[in-house]
Amino acid sequence: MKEKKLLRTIGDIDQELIAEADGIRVKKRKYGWITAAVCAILMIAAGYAVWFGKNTPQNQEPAAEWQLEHSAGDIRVTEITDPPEMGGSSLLAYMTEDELVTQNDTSIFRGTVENIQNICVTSGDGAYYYGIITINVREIYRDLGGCEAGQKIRILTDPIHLDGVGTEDMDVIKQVQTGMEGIFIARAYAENETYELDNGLLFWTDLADCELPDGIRYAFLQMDGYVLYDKNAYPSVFAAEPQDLEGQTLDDVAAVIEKMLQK
Amino acid sequence: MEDREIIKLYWERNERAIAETSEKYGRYCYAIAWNILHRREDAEECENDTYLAAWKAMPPKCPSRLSVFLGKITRNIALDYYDYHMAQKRSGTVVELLSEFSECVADTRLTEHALEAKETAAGISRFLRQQNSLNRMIFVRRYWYADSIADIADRFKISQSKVKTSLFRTRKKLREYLETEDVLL
Repeated sequence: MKEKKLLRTIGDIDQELIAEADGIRVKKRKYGWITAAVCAILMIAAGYAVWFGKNTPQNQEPAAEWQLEHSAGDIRVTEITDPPEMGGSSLLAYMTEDELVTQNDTSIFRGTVENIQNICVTSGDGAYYYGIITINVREIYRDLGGCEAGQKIRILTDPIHLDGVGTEDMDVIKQVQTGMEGIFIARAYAENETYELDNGLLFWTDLADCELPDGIRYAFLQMDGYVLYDKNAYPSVFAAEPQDLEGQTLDDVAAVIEKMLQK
Repeated sequence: MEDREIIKLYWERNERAIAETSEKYGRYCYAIAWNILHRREDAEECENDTYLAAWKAMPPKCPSRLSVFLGKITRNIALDYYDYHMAQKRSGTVVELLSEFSECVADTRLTEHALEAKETAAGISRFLRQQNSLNRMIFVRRYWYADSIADIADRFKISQSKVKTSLFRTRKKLREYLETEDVLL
């Protein structure tokens, strides 16, 4: 089997290359302890604002700390209002539209964005940023995570800038807004799926029910008169010429997805 | 203890060599075996077999990089263990890695004999040196160290999708390189 031979042969590459790859571990994000301190300052400032000014014109919501049901160790999850720029999903492995839809480890559902939050997960010196989008599910096209219509599902993403400022890489998901309807292809977290942090073990289900494999190709968002999605990834959706794209709806997307799933 | 002092213990046939190796590189070897086998008992067995193999190899071997020398031993032992005990289960990291390699070698003129030649390993090293350092290290972490995508993303503080794309592109270039460099016998 040629693949096995190649795997073995790679074992004999130059030792300098092997050592190089072991010698590098990128230090905590440059925000690292600075951001942990910023989170702490935000919490103190938020508490200060609440103490002084429940009735002041510019109330700040206290940075709510999440209670983690399963995670263990020194882990804190706080909600933040101004996440750092994270860069986008600009480098993606190629997959056909059939593969994107029919890969069998994702659920596909449609619903309305009920809430968007950004969180900071800190453990030791590490700080990690995520967005959590809560979807009120209306319809299920494929379910692998036990979700039902009428349920609320939390999707983990990169942070979302709620001020509407776009990012350079134009991830579809970063255009999401509360009240928007969309179709999402998400991978459900297993109950025992964990992530080892500096000083703790994080259970992903403490944060969300599922995640988008990337922020570009796994969401279709209903905008005003058109659907926002990755046209390169899904050439057969809305295959009409650009001038015919007015009036696109998620129903059209759903029809294509259901057809692919039936194959 | 410095590597050269540990090697000296092997050459002197001083059994302290094993204890010192275990203390300095035990976790390293275990991690490599674990990445491939994902079973504690099996990974521990491979780690212990590494010490025995090192004891037999030195002398006459006198590695310039003890960590890589030991890591190679562990990797080969773990892959042998996988082939003997686990291949039929068709699951786990090795299956993933082989699946990823299929696009490198499927439908090509590359022969198994060519792929296992020492010249091929040298050619792959030349190829990797032509890549930028991050892509090169991602490739080595995935296919030499058998790290998971998540671990690689965490190591280099990049997204998992960037890791996947880097690997995809490097594999594609490797395939083109192997075909154009006359890696055929």
